[in-house]
Amino acid sequence: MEKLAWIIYGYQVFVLYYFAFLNLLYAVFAIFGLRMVARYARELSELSLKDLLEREAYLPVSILVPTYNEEKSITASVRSFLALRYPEFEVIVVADGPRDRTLEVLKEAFQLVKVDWVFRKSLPTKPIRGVYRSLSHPNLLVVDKENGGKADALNAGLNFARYPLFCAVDADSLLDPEALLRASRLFLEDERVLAVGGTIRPLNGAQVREGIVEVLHLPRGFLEKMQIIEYARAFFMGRAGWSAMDALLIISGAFGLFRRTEALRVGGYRTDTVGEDMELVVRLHRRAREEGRDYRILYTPDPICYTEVPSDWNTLRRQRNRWHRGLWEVLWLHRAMLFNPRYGRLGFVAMPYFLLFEALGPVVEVLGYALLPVFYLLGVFNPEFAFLFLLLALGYGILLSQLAIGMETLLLKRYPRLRDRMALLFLSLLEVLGYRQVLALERFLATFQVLRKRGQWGEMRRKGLEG
Amino acid sequence: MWRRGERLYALLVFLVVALEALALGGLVLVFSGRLFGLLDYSATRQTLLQALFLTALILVLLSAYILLYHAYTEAKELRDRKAYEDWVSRFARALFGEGALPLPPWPEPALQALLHLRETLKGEMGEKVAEWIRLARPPWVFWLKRSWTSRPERLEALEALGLARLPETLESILPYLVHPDPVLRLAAARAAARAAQGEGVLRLGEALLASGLSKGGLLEALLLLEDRAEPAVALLLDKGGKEEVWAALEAIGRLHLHPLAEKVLPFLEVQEPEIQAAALRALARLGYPPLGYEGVVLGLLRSGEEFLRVQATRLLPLLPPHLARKALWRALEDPSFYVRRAAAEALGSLDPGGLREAAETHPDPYGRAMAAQVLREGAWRN
Repeated sequence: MEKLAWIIYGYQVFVLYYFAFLNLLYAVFAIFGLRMVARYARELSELSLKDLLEREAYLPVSILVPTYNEEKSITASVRSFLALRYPEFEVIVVADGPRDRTLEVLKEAFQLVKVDWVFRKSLPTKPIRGVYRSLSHPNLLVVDKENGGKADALNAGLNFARYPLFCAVDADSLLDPEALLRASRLFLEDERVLAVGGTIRPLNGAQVREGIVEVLHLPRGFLEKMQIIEYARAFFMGRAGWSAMDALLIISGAFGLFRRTEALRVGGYRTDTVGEDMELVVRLHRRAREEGRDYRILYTPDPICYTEVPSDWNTLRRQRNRWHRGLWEVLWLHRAMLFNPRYGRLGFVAMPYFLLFEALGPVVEVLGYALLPVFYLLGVFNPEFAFLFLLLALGYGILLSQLAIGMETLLLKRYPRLRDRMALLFLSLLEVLGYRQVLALERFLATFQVLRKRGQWGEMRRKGLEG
Repeated sequence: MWRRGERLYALLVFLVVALEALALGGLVLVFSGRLFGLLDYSATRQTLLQALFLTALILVLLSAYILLYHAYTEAKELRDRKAYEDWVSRFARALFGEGALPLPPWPEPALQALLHLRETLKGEMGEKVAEWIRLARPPWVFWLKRSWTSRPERLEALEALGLARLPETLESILPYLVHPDPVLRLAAARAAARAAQGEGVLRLGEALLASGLSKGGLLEALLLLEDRAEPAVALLLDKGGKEEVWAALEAIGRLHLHPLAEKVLPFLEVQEPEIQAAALRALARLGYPPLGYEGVVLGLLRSGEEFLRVQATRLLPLLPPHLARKALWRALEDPSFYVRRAAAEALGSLDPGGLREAAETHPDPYGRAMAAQVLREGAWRN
């Protein structure tokens, strides 16, 4: 019995070490992230953006919009892409065999007509059913194809893309008018840059006119508010920190800018994973490292993409389940990089972090909660200690959220009302009381569903941007 | 964008992280001690309570700072914006003779207003605003020369000097083109390109040669010179390495520097595909026929580099028509999609009838399809 108690105590200590190490890592991210965001903000010159527009020094961009069943949001999204402040770009919407009226809605809104189109099939995709051009917008191309998933749709878009940079965006997203300008600048300033990821913010609660976000307010729904805090933490601390360490492994599928030739060189998006966005970035890293090239993959805080976040538990859980399965799939596909000195800090820091803390984190967390009754039954449960430790863990969680909210206040202040700011700070307290645990449970379940649900996306319910 | 007060926030973050690390370190030690029976429960409990108290304190401090900061900056930004708008209208009135010029010294919003007017107005009025900026005795040159100036201040000074476009400030900017910090180097190149006039352009060209800037940065500086660029571009073309020559060739095409067209031709023969492609692009943009280099251009159509074949194909319409038509017809059989596309477009611009013929009778089905597509697109555009 004494031995069992020792083992159980040992597990508790392991959890504490895990918790302490993880929080120290987060602290490091906070410092790196703050430094990165501050540097970016100081170095960004509005004048240089203006010059970029006026002096034709820019690189043209193909915007790829894979879409499935998005009849509610597709018109507003495409309008926002067409309204971007950028001198030369094309929008390629790929309708991935939608079962709703997505294609019809597009045809009506943008006066599409079917055309014969010759394109280079650099990447294999499901058959193309038709190509449409717009009578009202010469830089809009709509590709109708058989359903093959998001990655397949992006590959089809890449086959049609003409420009040296491409921007992959979600069909339920809106871009800040200057997002492309700011992000593409980095490619011009540094030829080593292969890809740039921007910041994603929840669109829910925004006032949108003609596809442009005019003002952001907090949405009404509890889940949507929670995701605002989550996104701030993920981008201003996580991505900024990793980018500052030159080890950014994730560029969100909702907004990422890539050199087209580089993406084609590595074979485009993989269609056998639901984490296709992360997988492409990891593959770009991997190929460049293997070739011994000097390269950069960056996160930039200001180019903002607004995306509609799930407003009901079912959709949110499905989304997180998919994200977590995607993470596992990518880690498995690139397991050769783990602890491999050939891949430098990617192999020794980033990949192990994603395995031990992002992928396995929910397992440790859920087991931590689940073992409490076991400890109680075994008579080794100390309620006072458990309560204090739980409070501390929650306190650290809140602290991270508040650091991210603080960073957002200093950099962007996209929520201009003081009461919204107060609400965000208050909600960061609520986030750790239930919301986070439910999502941890979903990610825990996803860990054991990776093989069974391989390639499954799950239905996403949308309210639609116009609403 | 990044508001004042970030240093305080940075300090706060460092404090938070340091205290957090301290608390976590303490907990790890105490728990390890407890695991090996060196400490009793009360010590563990006490450390846990201390860590909790510290976390709560930090949370309160951080929340208060964020809220105060939000409220303060909101009010301050409103005030600053109003002051700036007031100064813009006062200077505009003085400029149009509807009011007297307020006497210096002027506050910061007035300087910002002057910079805005300087950027907006050209010609005589622009020069008048430049005089007023001189009258204001701005601190920017001093900031650049002072050894203890912070990096953000240097960047701010370079941006302001770029907007002010005062030629006499060039000498203060140029040393920054060899600064070890690449961000300052690029900012200096931009500012210098906006400020340089007359002899200064050549001085900037020399500084660009020594700057080690990326080709994108070099090109940007040259494009900013606009119609003043010629001496700097010629210098980079004559004395530059691969990056500088590439930027110069790109600038010649984009700025339509016709007097330098002759100098581009020898670069068609260098053993560097990117330079050759840039030279082809420059000639195509200038519409300058590669006289005496026709064989070289036709030879490049057999290059192993796809991008080089594309650029060579685009230049073909500037060759004698009989040569061009034949080469374009052949280029429609090229295995590369992009070369066929370039060939069809070039054929369309040279001989629309030839393009129609290619769309119907070209022996290569891919070439035929491409010609038909370009024909359709032409009809579409019209």
